[in-house]
Amino acid sequence: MLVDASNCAGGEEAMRFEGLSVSFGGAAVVHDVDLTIGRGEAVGIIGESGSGKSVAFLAALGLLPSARVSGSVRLAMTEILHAPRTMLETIRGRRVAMIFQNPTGALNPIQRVGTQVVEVLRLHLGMTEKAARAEAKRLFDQVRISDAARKLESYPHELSGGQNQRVTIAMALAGRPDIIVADEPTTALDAIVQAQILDLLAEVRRDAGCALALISHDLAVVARVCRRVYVMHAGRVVETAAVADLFSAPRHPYSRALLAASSSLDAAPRHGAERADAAAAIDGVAHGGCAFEPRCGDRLAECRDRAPPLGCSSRSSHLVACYRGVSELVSEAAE
Amino acid sequence: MTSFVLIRLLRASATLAIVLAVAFFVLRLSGDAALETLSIDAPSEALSAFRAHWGLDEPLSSQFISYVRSVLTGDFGRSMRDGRPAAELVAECVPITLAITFPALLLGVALGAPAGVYAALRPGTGFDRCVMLAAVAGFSTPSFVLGLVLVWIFSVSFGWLPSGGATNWRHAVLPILTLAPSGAGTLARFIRNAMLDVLSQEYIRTATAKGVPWRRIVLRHALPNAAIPTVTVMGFMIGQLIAGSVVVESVFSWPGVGRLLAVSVASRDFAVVQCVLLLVTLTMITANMSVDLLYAILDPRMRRERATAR
Repeated sequence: MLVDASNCAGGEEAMRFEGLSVSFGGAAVVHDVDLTIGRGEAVGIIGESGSGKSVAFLAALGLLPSARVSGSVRLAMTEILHAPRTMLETIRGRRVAMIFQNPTGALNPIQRVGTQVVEVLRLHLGMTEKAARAEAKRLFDQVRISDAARKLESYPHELSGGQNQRVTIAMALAGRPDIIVADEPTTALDAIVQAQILDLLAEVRRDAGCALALISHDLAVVARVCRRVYVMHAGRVVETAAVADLFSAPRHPYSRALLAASSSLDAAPRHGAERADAAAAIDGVAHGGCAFEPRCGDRLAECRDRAPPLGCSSRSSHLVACYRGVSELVSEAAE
Repeated sequence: MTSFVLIRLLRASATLAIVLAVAFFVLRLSGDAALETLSIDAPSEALSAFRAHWGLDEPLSSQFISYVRSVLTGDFGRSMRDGRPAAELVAECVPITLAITFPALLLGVALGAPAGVYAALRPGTGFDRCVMLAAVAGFSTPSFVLGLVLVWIFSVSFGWLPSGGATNWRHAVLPILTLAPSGAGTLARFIRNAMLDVLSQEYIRTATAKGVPWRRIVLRHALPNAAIPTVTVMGFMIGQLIAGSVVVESVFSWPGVGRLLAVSVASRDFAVVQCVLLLVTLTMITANMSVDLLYAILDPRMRRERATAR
């Protein structure tokens, strides 16, 4: 009762990866990832560091010149993987905008923040300097930077991390993109600012009507903003489901481990153990089976021989790359 | 800002004072001006008359006090070799030296800066390796070696250019070609590294991710950031405009400050040496202060540090 992944998700798409693989100097980091983000949809991508979640998106936008990338990346109907540089330049910042982890490092230290927003407006929307400045001020107001007119003239080092992240969000909104890719946008911020930035992201996304790909290692972050989620492990998508389904009934043992880690307060000592498991996971890839097999408590004999593909029951959009998980889904659907 | 300038000026005067004092004592303790200027065979009455005339028979401490007193009134003493005011001798040589060091600096920047930038944009390619090889050769070849090689090629073998002297512009060509490569090489290497560092920064990735064309990223985002550390090297090169050509001027008998310094040290012509050192120290200090000012213009982070320091 296994169904091809592409049949499980429907609707209009803002962005679609098909068989996306990325490798650096022969070492594969992302394997055969299929992923769709609908128009105006907020989708979370979670996994531990090194699971390939950021690399997949950076490679998709051609931001990793030293990587070997194969597969397909489409924006609506346009194939953008290996597109010429001039075409990518009209897509980046215009149709796909990115927000990065470290807001202060992501801004040019010797340019006023207003100028950096104005640059996007002039490049992509062809605005005059005057119109662009007015629009930049409006964007600063929209992302709730207080005293916007004066802050436009500030340099990044004069603003806090949270304010700088608001600037990068304004910069992302400036090109009026179809989709914003936010790569760990709150990881470098302290807890209260994190919540504010997440709520702001959710709000501006709704107002602008654009899609959001929120990359995070933190389930709570994704749950706050997104409705659907992809779980990545060792460069593969191992589970995808509505956030509510994933929380109530995770089917992949790795998703369960992630849930357990985020809900337990003593996550710190466990973290070391998880890292050791990540090394073991690479052995798992080497033997050709499921990458999670070495650290899985419920492994089956076939897990070591062949990596389970993403599968689902015919009526559900919940997919899981686990032999046990799929049979659970199927028997549940039969009830 | 005013207190900042004041502190810098105080520090500069302290540096000047130390340089002058050290030069004064080292020069006098390391040789006898009477013997060097007259001759080792000169009669002893002539030697003592010479010493008495220049005040060299007085104790060092009182010599120093009268020297400081005259310097403070703007009198830098006279040359023991021809009796002319030292300041006048030095002032005559400055434009002659600048006639070769300034074009050499411009040539070095014109060659080194673009080479460094282009190398950084194509790291690891054949072009990059060639530039770096040439750069290392440029700043590690001693100027007397390069000077002699150029003389051998252009003067001896082809006879195109004179090997020494300073009667017309043709005499300046070889000294300039000898001086330029070290500046070009230093600058090329430094700019390449600064650019590579900047190009790996997150804000360059941000600029790429927001669709800024590559040319504009290089010109608007990378170059201004890479210029900040490069200013230090430029300051050093400007500081060398006066003092950096001692060897080259000697090789090509170019009658500038460098050759004046070499000759004056050899004959222990105290007033002239001290005057040259004063001038060299002043250029270095001025260059350093201009670097600090330029830093503040180029880098807004420096402005703030200064404001908070105040």
